[in-house]
Amino acid sequence: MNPHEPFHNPNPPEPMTEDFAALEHELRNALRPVDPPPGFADRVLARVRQLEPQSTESGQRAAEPKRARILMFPKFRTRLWIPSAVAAMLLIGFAGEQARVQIDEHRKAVEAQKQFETALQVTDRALEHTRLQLQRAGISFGEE
Amino acid sequence: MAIPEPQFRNLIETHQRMVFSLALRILGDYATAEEVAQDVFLELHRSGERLESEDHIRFWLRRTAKHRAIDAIRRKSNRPEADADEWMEQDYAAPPSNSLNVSTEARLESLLRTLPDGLRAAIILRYQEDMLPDEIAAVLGQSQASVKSQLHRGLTLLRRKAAVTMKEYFREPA
Repeated sequence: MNPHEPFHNPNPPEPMTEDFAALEHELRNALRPVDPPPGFADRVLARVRQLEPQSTESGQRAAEPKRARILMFPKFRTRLWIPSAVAAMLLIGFAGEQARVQIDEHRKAVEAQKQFETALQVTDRALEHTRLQLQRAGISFGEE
Repeated sequence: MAIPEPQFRNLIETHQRMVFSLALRILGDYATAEEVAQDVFLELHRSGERLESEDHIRFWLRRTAKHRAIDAIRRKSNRPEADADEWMEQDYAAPPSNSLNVSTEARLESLLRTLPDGLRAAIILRYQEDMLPDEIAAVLGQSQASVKSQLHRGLTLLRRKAAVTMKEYFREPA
């Protein structure tokens, strides 16, 4: 079968009713498929070729804004970006200062703890020395 | 190109008669019918990768051609529904019969163009494409009962008009 031939059912459907049989017959004759004007396929293909570069370009253009949005972020959002950056820097600075103060205080506390322990050791030694000397002299404390 | 050019050309050449004829019968205007038919094939080209079989392509083309042709009619605001009801009345006035030199088929075709969009589409698919009511229902997105009703209403209306303008060929049943 030639695919370019109009499709016509060799066994057309039964008429709607006997009343319409003549009309249906005439309609089938009147509605035979007709050829489009010559060169139709060429014109469609020309339009396809014409549209293809545009669709590629528009595809590129569609991709560009996404890239541009990322690359040009600071430029187009200056009003939002600068205050946010300043606030973030202030926050980081404040947090850094707080951390530095805490570390300093911790270091001082550790140092004070060491000094206190050293003082206790010195005192203990002095008391022990005194107790030994008194013991030698025959005086004893807490040994009943 | 979504479909290789030789394959797409073959598709156009296979289906151009059907698509162009559908658009022409629905629109009644060669220039607009060609424009619509071209648009349908461009749309096919864009969605060609999703169309799997020959039957699927034929179905898709029929449905798209019908939709695009109706869209074109609406754009032109050329809606023949306005006078449909007056023809459904029994006591219509006979228009002047001035088309004696035109062939029966051409006159019938021009009468067909006066039918409302829905009735005309159903009649064209039935008698141009030899489609059954269930196939027409699938293309038009309607129920089979609705298509049968449209066909009957369309034929009744057409015969009524033909009985007036082509009374030498068609008569209203008594």
